[in-house]
Amino acid sequence: MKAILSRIRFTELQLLVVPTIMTMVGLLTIYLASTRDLNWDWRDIWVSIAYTIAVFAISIWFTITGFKGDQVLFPIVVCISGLGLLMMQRLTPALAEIDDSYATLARQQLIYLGGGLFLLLAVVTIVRRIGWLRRYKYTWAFGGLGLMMLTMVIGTERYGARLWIDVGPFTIQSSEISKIALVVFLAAYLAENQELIVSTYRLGPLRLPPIPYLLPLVLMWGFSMLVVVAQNDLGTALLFFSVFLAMLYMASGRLSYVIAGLSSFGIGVYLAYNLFGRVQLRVANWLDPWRDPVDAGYQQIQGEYALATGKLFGTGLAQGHPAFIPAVHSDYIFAAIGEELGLFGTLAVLLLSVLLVFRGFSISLRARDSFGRFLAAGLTTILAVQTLIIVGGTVRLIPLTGITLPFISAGGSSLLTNFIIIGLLLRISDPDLAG
Amino acid sequence: MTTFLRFAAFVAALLVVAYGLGETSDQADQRWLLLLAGAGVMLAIAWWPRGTSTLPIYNRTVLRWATLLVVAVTLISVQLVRIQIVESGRIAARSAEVADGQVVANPRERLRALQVQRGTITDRNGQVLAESVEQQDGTYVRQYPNIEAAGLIGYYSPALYGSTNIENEFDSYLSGTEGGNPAEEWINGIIHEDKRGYDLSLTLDIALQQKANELLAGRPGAVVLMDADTGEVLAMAGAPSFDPNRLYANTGQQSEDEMAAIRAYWQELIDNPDAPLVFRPTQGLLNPGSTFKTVTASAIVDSGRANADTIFRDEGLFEVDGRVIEEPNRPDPTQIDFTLEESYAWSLNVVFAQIGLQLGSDTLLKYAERFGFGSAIDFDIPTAKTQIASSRDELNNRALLADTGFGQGQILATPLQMALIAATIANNGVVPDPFVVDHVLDSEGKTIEQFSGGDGQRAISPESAAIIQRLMQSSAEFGYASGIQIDGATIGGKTGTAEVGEGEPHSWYTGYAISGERRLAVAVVVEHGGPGSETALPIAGEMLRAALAPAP
Repeated sequence: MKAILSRIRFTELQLLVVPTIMTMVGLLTIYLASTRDLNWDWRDIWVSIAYTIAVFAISIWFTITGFKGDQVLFPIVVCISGLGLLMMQRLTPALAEIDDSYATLARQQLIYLGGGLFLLLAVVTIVRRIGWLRRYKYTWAFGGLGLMMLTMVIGTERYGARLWIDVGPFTIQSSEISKIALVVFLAAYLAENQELIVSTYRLGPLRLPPIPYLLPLVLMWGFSMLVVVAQNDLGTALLFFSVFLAMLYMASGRLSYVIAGLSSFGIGVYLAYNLFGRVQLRVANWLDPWRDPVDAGYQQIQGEYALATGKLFGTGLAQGHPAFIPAVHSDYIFAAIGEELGLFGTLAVLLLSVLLVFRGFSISLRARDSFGRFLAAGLTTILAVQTLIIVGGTVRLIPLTGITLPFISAGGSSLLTNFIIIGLLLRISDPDLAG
Repeated sequence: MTTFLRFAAFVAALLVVAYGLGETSDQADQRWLLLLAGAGVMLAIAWWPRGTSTLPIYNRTVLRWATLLVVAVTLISVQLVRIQIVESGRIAARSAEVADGQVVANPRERLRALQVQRGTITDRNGQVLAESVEQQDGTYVRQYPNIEAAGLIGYYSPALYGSTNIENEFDSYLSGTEGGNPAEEWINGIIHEDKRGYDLSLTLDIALQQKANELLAGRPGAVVLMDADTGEVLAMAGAPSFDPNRLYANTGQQSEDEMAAIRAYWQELIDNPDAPLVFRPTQGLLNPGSTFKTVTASAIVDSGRANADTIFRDEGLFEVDGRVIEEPNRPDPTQIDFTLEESYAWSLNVVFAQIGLQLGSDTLLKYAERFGFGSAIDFDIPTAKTQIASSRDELNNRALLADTGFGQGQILATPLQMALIAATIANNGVVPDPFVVDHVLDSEGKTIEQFSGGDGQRAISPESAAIIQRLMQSSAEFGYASGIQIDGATIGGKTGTAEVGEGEPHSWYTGYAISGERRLAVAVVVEHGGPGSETALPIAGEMLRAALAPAP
């Protein structure tokens, strides 16, 4: 009896109460705003109730299976993705008024969310050991790259970039899956060659980095960068670059690698700026969207209007007009949150992301072997950097590059991938995990 | 030492952000971005993990990387505070005109304007001046069933030309964003209850307003009729005027052709040399001519240097610093000695030139300012800033000071300003605070806010005011301002014939009628209308008579 009691994940269960209440109250607010009446029924917020039941069921399943992993990470993710669920429920009717094809957005996202939670459960339950991830590192790396290159050939073009593959009724954004593959490869390679990478060569009076051991790494990274740049997917390029550099630094502890990386980044940016008109346009829009307010700068201006309208408290869910912003359901969802939930909402999203990232790093520090550590840190870095890139672009701290806000933006591939990441992090946090 | 360095770096980061907020005008201004980057470096110094030398390398680097991420999040938060709080008003309201005259603006403003039933504006008797009428598609169109008060009400054209005057100044009430019970508003907000703007009830009497327009008959000019006691504006007309129905434009309601017609009408108004869009009663700056002598007389009487019977000399000519002032107004060219009362009634320029010099620039300016000159009058709609001279130093020129004394020189006044001068005399020396919006009503007709003119500012003592009343009444009895007779009312007045560069002089009349408890003040100007007694005076007489006539 006592053994069973000690297995119950009380912390997790308690922490789950807050986000589930949030999704229920939030959805009720949205419902009341749409009917303009104070009458409602529990059936009207069945989406949130289903979500609540699903997440509690997962926590209870963890208890039943005796899973001993981290108890804080899952509630944080439930909170962030609950906010995403609310935003999709809220945006769908408004977007459908503009374009019928958005009418199924909320339902699709709900299915993806369910799929994501299922994948998380599956990863935690089925993956007993992570050694196989490490063993087949080159398979993952080439698989990820191959998928992206395949997309370039047979992919579907949208928003001026060819990033999606149509598989039956679904479209898969290949770079989302590839980002996990790349991190797995990097973690495995760095874990295997950690000591060598830290060491230095002596060549006469010169102390050189261990170039032969860095070479596969740099080649793999350079190749993937080339692919995403060729795909015109600047956001993903920036993400891959940051993740690579951060992991190399964390594994080696050598600032010289970071400086070398940043220098090459500077050169790369300079070249890209001078070679591609698209990059110049992005920079110009970043610094002054008002020079072309009806076309190139339109999205950023609309995003700013939304953020500025929100002020401290926001207009309230379903009380603003975020549908004026192009791509508000994906790249610009942060501006919609800013309009309807105000500065409190935007800071809450940032704070939740910081908590998530800290939890991820804490899992990394507690992991038993280098591969687990690097993998956890790399996966966490993906979520952190992705958030910074899109939010930084939305508030015009950096040029805007299209990328999803993890767990909140619409997009099945992104959501499923991110839940796999959380599943892996939970798995790594399990003290019983075998190497 | 490191503790101090960290603290200094943190403070420096705060200072850099504060400096950037003050110095830069946009959230992506390159200098601001550079300053933020600098603040980021300082924050990284301030927060760099300490005591990590004992930790394994990996733990140390993870901590450092986490610190950098936190710095980045902090910079984003600073930027969010700037966009959402510090400069939210500016950013949300920013707009620009693109090549073809189309305006890029925050669509939320216009949407709000479309979906909210804007409040009705009525005159004091409930006559509708402006209302929003629901269309079949559920949107509202702003209509003006009575355009007699068009200039005062202003136009409402959110998609093209914005709004003016009452439509603009009272927008927060008319659109329903101000006033009402906060708790009720909150509940209504939650369920998106259709919000209705609040109604405005004016002090204006549309019958008098119509009379004023009839009397002006389209000639450029203005009529202001007000209650001298309370400050209520009863009529405020400017000519020429415009039709605000033809300027209304809101997103998606007008076809391309209709929009073109609105633009064409706007262009026509802009091109009209008589400037119909300038609301003369509050925005028209004209030389007031002899009607200003009321101020000069008030100054000399209230400063204790003269009374109604004080004798002044007028020999027909007066020279000051090489400028010769001729006297055109003496009733009898052989008379040389005049009392102040006679001088005012006959509007003797030579006498008032001398009074101006006797007062000196400081005293004259002091009294002019007490009557409201030198600033924009505080009123429900914007008013133009009036002046005695283009600068204080100019009045050190004695020739100009003499000219100013009798109302020429560089004086520029609005008709509202001149009405207030007459009202002050009728009101025993207190300048009333003028107002035209009387109260705000909710949709059930309940008054939610009542305005009043306030207590006013004393310009001269009651005793001085009594003396000036005697002057103005004599002027209306036997002087140039005679000709208005109303049963049971005491009339005081002053005409003005303001010489302007070219063409006929501006025709002015300012005065009052006191009948029992009622004290009405009026100012009339007809640009290039000739002598004040011929053009402006009859208009003022008709207005006072109509205002004092018992209700039918």
